[in-house]
Amino acid sequence: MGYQFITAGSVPHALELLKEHGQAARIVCGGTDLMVRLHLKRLPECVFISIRELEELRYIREEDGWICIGAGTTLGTLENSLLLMDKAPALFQAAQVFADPNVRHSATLGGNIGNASPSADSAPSLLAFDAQVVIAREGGQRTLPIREFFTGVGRTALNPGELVTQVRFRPNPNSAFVKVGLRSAMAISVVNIAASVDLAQDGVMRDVRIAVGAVAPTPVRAGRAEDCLRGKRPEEAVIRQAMDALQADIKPITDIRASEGYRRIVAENMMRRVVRKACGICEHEEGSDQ
Amino acid sequence: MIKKGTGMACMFYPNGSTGKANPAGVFIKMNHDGTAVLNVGATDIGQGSNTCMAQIAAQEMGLKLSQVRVVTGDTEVTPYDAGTGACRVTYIAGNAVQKTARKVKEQLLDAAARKMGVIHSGQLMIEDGEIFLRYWPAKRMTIAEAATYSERVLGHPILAVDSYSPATMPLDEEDGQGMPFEVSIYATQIAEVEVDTDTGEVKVTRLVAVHDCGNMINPMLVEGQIEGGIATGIGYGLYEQIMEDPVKGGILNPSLATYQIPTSLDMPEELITECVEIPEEKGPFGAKGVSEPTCNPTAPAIINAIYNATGVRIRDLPATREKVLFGLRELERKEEG
Amino acid sequence: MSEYQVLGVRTPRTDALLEASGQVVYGADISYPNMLYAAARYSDYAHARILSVDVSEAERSPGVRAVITAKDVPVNRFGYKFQDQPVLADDKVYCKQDAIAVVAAETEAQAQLAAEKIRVEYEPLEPVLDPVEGMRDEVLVHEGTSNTVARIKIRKGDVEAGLAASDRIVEEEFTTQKVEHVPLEPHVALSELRPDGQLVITTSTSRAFAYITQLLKILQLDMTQLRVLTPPVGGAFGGKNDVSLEPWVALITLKTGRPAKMVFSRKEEFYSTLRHPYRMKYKTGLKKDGTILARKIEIISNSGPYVCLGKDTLTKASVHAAGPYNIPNISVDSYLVYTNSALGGAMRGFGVPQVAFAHEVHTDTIAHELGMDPVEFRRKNLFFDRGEGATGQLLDSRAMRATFERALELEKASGTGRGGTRA
Repeated sequence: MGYQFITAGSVPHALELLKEHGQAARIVCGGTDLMVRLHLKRLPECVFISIRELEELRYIREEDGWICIGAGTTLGTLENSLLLMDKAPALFQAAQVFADPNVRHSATLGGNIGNASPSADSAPSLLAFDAQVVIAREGGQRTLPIREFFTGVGRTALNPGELVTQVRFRPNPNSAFVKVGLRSAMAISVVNIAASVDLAQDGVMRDVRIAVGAVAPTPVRAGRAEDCLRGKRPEEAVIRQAMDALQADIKPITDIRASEGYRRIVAENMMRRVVRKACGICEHEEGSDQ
Repeated sequence: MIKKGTGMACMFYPNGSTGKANPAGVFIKMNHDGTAVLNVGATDIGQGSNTCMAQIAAQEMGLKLSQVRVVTGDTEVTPYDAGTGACRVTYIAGNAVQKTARKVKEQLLDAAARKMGVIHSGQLMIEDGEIFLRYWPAKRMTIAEAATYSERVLGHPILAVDSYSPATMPLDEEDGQGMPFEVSIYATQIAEVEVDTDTGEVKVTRLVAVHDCGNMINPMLVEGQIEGGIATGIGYGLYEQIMEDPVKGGILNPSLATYQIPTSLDMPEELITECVEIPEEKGPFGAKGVSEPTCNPTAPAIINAIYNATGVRIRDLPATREKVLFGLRELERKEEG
Repeated sequence: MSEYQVLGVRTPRTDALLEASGQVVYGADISYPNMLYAAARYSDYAHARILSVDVSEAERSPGVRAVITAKDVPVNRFGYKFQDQPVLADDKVYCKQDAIAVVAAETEAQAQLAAEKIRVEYEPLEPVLDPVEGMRDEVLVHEGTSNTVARIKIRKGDVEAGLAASDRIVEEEFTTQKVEHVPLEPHVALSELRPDGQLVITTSTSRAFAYITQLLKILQLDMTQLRVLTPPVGGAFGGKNDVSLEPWVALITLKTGRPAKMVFSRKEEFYSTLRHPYRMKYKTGLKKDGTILARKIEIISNSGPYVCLGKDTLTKASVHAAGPYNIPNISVDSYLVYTNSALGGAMRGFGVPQVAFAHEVHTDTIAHELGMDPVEFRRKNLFFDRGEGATGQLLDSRAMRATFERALELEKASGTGRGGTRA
């Protein structure tokens, strides 16, 4: 049968097409994941349903204290959003270090979470914001917490016929993102991590949400580490405890990019960095030659 | 924590193949209109040698760069060349170009002398596309006029062929003694790095690269080749490695997603390149080749800088973030224990 | 400045505008009418005997016009000094990157599809992947030939006497990795038969004459029957020094009479030659004041299954292994070892990046062990003004001093001024 490519004219049209083509249907927007797999012949034959032309899915707006982002919004749009820079720096920072400018101008937020890579750079921030995924389906829509969205490597809780249309979250200026790849651009994360902190006047972290990528089959929340930090100030001893606790939250593997041991050390160290960054503590004390 | 350090590395490298003849052949045909076709055996592989060869030829013959057309890489037309490798094109093929261009110039001046009724062509000069008598500059003609006269009146097409091969001696089989090369080039690079002790990431913040290539034929090309070599060297020192299955064989990362070459963002924030111009008397217009080994000192300069920043000594390339981080951990353990 | 002053001028490359505006016609941009596309079938094993190759299903595959195997190659061994490399595998495969057959079809996709339908029956053999293990000759890559296929020896002065007279000995071991050239333009070759019967091969290479010399032997043609053209080359870095896909397209054209084309995928680009990985042992004897008395070096190079340019690179490496330092007593013993791992070949620096890494890091280690500043240690021992290399050759090395002092000056002007010194 080969590959077919159909451009959807609207969200309802996309849903119709999804229904019509059933198992063979595959949503494509930026194409930065699918086109690579197609080229490498690692994509089964399918019907591409393109939502690339749907302007209705390309927006960032504030509604009733939520930041709502259309699924077709490119990472390039996110990295240029002053709204995100002010109110949701974790996602803004993730967009800035995502792949390279070419990819960012095509890749979309919906695609990045829909592809469900364990190392997806937008995922930790969205998890740290406890984001909600708005999913359109025949006759209506449903909303799913992002924690329940990722189910495995390349797998999501989306049912056949469903389409991610929006991601929304309560913004938090006390949030941050840190990525470790193996080079400065076009790097697949070896560890990526985001933190969102509810910071009291006295510097106590009333609440903390931390999420880590590339250390488990899906991006994960670091519940045990969060427990260590909650209600405390971001002091070294406290963070040190959380770093130890983090080891039980993650389950990294050794692959061609990095070993399990490296990922474990870096995840810890980056947790310290991201929590301090979210709390507005200046990072990077400099040491000269030994 | 970020730790900073600087490291140095020096190198020497020859122009030409090891202990054997490696000739470059050149053939020039001057057209009646005073332009020339330069046939060079050596291929331009993207480094810009066609431009460099044309510059040498044009300068020697007194032409503008745009008046020299370069033809390479056609085994039916171009003379033999040992190939674009061994950092040999500027020095060896360049010498062949200069020798050949000199012969073209002699033929051109001979024709002009006959047309002007001058007894010896040594009395003639070429400047700005015109041939004139040294002590009576009013007596002059254009290169095109002289070339037309030679080809179409005298019946002497202006053609010249020559070649160059460096004087070398093979190495002795038993003790390896001998004179394998005619000239060598030298360089010193100093790298400054920042090492992130939380991740093992090494950032090259500054790189000073001072190279020797005799006189520069084209400073822009030289600069480009040094910068490109540094990119190659950074890849070698920090990022690139083919991984093979240790049991079954086969390359595990034959793709640009898993085989990491440096990106433009991985280049040094500050990159300072310079050439010390000590003319090479045996080179064309005093020049030597520069490009190939520009990568050679980069990796060791970075590795020495990492040591000076952190005390971690990397002895197996590349210095991946993982190796640096584990090296730091081991140092900590030693200090504690 | 006069347009006639062209030397020493920062003039843009004559092709700069064409390159920048994408108008250069590279090999991959060329196509001929009625052209066939080639795709190769590679080995499934690093080391195996080939029992049979069944191409019948591939031949019946849509669009296929020819399948070429070893039987079609007039002379199926090539190489510059050692003719040990097959154009297409015959009795054995020596590494996973060996091609066994090449399919020609009307489209690239048809050729690739058909290549997968070739059935190869193997008798798997134990592969030798590590060169040190290979040197034991327990499993031979090429039957009847020691895996240590070449040895290079350099002896200057008396290294043992020099070491014996030393106050201090510093020993170190280094290893380097295999790397790929990664040219932007992968290998590409086209072939066509001109009406007068001449075979023209257009290929992206650094060495048209070295190629035609090899191709004449493989195809059993003379210079009137074969012509090699080089289109603009999009980067080579030493990776386009060796024949690879050229005989394949040529044989398709000779068999079918039709033009043929092949462009390596990025994956196949990694299958062509790589920079040899070296294991290097350095032992240096010194006087207390930092004078180097002797240096003893051993290098083991993993050649992969063929010699290719492995001996030449190792020779250049051996000549430069002691570094640009005045050392009266030097010995270098280098071994080129066959293995069933991916093939090594020429790459920018030709063996010297490996030894430059070793001698420069070793230099710093020595300085630190002697409690000397690495900058001062270099200043004391470098080839300043005149050097005597490991082969006894005298070198005009005025530029060594000049680059060294100038680099320190520039670093001082722009940076910390530490040069290579550890604070």
